[in-house]
Amino acid sequence: MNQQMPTTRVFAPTSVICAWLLFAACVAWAAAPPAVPAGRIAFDEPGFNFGVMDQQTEATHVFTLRNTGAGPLRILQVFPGCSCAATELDSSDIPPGGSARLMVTFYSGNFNGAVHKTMTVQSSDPARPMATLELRADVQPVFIFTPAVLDLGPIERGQTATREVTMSDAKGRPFAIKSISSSLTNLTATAAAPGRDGSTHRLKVALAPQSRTGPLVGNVEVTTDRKVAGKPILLVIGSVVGPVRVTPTAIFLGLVGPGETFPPKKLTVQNTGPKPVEIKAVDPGDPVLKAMVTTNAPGREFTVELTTRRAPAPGWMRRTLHIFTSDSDAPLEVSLSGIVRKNTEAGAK
Amino acid sequence: MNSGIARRLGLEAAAILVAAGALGLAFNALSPRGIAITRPLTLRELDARYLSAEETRALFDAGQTIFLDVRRARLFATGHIAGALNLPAEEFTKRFAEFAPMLPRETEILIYCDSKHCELSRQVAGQLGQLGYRSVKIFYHGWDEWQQRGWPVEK
Repeated sequence: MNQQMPTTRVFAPTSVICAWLLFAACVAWAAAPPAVPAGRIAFDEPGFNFGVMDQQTEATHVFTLRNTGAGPLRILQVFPGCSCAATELDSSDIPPGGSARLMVTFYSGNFNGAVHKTMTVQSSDPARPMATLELRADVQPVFIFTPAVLDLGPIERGQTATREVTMSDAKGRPFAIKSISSSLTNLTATAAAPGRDGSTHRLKVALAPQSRTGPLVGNVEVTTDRKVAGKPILLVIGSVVGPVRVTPTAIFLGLVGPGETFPPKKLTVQNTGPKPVEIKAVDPGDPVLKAMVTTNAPGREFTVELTTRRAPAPGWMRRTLHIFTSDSDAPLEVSLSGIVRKNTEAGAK
Repeated sequence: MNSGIARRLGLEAAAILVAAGALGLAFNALSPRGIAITRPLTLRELDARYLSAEETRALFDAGQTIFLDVRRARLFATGHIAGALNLPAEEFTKRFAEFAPMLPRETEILIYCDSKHCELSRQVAGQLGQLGYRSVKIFYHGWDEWQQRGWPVEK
């Protein structure tokens, strides 16, 4: 009997505890809301490889989204993963067993080589609220310029400049040049005879004498016998210089808040010619701006300090500052730009 | 004989330690909650031009950096960093001449795109480098991060 007592004493509380637990479980189960069937998102394919594509082209693929769950599925948002892809969904609400089509357009742009992007589809599937789709492509340039950018360098005012550029097909295929145009006056480009297999052409780019000094930026556009979305374009840069030069030739005044003024900026005018030069006038290009000239070395070097009289209007400000000297009738030019934000609130629109 | 047994035991212990260590490393590598043994690369080590969100915000507040948004115009219009210029990457070659007066070579340029998954920023940074720009930075996490932090935006 003594041997049985410890067992009985342990058994009694244990059975009471178990009974309470069972009772609590039953109450919880009764009080629990009935399970709502959920939608389940599924894709017919995990991604798509667009394969080899030329630059500046686009390709489209349609994914099929399915609802394999017992409840309705809602597609909340599709994140393309980059600005190189656009999406179009034909239906946001997919009933159980139903499907929707998601059209994806991929733009190859100026990508060069293997591209891998991940798109995200946000839905009401509780198990997989953010599902992903992979996009791949191998983007190849159609034409290659050598050099990629033509830098004419500094060109003395009144002088000509001629350079040669090679244009070739990236895959060694022959092509013909139909026409060449330039965005700069006095900049011309002509095609010489093609290479032996016709996949390479030499272009002669020439700049006629310029009377104005300052930076040169333009492009040469080539039309070939190929049907490509964008014509091959060669960027051309350089600067026309004279004995009197201003540095820099472009100034960013700053990014300031509304009601604020830009911080002061300085330019230097240098005369490398044999005759002394004087600065006749400086026009800052906007009544909000003020220019003050200081002579560092008479006839040789000057400093122009640019300040803001009062707060400029909100938005982008683009002006040209002109410096009139005794060297030439054509003034020296300096591009000015600055931004005044429209408001100071964080996250404001 | 005792020394022989001791040596054998020592070898067995060493073998057990090595096997256990290898098994532990293998498990750590395969586990989704494994502990990083090597240090992850910093942003600078990924690309010397990358800037964090805090560094980008500091440049924005200093007001001497040009912010260049290289996304498509349609996306730029839906929202962008306050004061940013929009030069879509795919239009760079065609439109650079138009933007050149606003992009002095001496000024720092900060390029951004959608997010860290967008390669367009690096592409345009490379093109600016070919044009002689030496102070070009990239906001690594891009527009998504700026917007999530509630920092100044415009539409």
